[in-house]
Amino acid sequence: MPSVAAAALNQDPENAAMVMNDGEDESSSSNATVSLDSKIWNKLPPELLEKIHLCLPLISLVRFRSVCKAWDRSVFDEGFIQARKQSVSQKPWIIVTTTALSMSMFDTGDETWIDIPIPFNASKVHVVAAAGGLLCFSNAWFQWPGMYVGNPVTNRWRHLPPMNTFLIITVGMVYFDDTQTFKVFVCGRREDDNLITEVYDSVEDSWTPGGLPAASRKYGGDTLVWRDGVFYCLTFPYSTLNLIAYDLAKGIWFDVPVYMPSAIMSPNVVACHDKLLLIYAMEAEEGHFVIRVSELDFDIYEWVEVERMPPQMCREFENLMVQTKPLCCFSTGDLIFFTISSNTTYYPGAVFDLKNRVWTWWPSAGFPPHLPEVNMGRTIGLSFEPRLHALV
Amino acid sequence: MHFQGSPNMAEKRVKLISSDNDEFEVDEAVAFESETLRNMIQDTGTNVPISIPNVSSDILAKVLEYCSYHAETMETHDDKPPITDAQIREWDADFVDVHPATLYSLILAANYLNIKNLLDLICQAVANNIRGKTAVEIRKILHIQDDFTYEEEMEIRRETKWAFD
Repeated sequence: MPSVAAAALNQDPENAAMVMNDGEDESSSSNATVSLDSKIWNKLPPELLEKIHLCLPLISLVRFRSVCKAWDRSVFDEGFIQARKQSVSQKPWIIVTTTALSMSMFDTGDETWIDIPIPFNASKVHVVAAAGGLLCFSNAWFQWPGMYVGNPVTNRWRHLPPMNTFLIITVGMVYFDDTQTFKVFVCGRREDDNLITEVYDSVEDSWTPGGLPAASRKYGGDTLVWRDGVFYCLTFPYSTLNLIAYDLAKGIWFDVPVYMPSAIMSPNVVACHDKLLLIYAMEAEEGHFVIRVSELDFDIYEWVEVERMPPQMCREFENLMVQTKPLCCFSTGDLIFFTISSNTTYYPGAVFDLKNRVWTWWPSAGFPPHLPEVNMGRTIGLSFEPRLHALV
Repeated sequence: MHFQGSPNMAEKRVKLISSDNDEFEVDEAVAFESETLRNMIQDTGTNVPISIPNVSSDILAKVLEYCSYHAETMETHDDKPPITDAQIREWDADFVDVHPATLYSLILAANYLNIKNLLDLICQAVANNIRGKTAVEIRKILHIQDDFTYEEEMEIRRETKWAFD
């Protein structure tokens, strides 16, 4: 038996490493700060390089696009995209605020803040919808609003042609993975005050009129939620709460025949994969409230309670809440985000992982104390899955 | 001289020969952590020593240390509490806390011997090492020629600027 192997075999890993480093001093064997030696690493076989790429966070992949043409192409390669989907669970980003020049994102995976420049004049423009890695921006509170759709990760944007909508009430967006196309849905009012529904198709690059909503319905003004071919939203005020929907293929609005729970506060509708969920607060004993998550059972059209926020967390949440500012929720994948805001301060909130049934707080460290309100309706943030390959 | 741990008499032993002609003997279960060795053993049995011509003694020792530990984590002992996932993660982190040159040899060995978990572990370690580097540093480390035209460089810089701040 050789001496070097024998020595290595019988010792603990640290000492074994020392032996194999052939007399390297201790400091160099702690790897984090040691840079890779070019003489060794430039001979790395391409398939291993790709495996290493699969372990990199999105931000590094973006930075390394400028290494060379091959690296730039590789991140958009279909095989790489599929392999990454299999091996990496990309945590959502939350867009919380914009300025005229940039948008501020929170990476829930790395728990870091990212500031991404906006390549168009973004004063008075805010994010109104997100789908498949794309964001939709609009000056939706103004007359004759304009609209931009872009991928923040590639910083490629499209200015949508003018629409016939004079004032926007609600917006939805859907991204179709199979065709890499998207549609934007707008419901609002014409200049003559009549209701209008319009759908933008990214292939045609044009708006077409959609079916008219019932004039008696008042829409919540939140971002529409997409599930299986249908956009959903809640009506306003909550005293006459209804779930209404728009079937995109058929081009019709309809009332979803489901009885809504009564005496509820701050209702929100979110979608997690194929599930449509209603989240709301309800008064409980001693003036406290509970926050419930119910799922719509599409077979019997009933809300079935699936979860409640743990009481202790609910108390803490309650303490942060302000009367006039309701709870608002948004979701990406299996994660549902619960946020609240006061008039001057933005609070991060709770996260519920629907798949693993785990409640956590999203980290409050690093949150800017003052954030302007940027989004549609009462939504104060939107989450989305950042994707390099989402095409505008 | 046996490789680590208490040899299980019921278990078959496997002889491995490194590129420097050193002989290593391990339990079959340890060798089976490697898909490549598993296939070879299933073809030729355990009587013939298996030659691994492109892995040196020191690296093979290190790889076998990994395989031995991970084979052990699969075993259940009545007298010892089971090894927790957290303990395994800590052990793995220590294992890849080595000089980059060793890491490089390990990645090639793990690839050749087809030890999926070890390969994943090392790829992640290398990714952690390079994730914060700039494009210029990456070009230097991997001897990659910058082949963008000026216009392309400007365009890509505009698109990726946010990732540099």
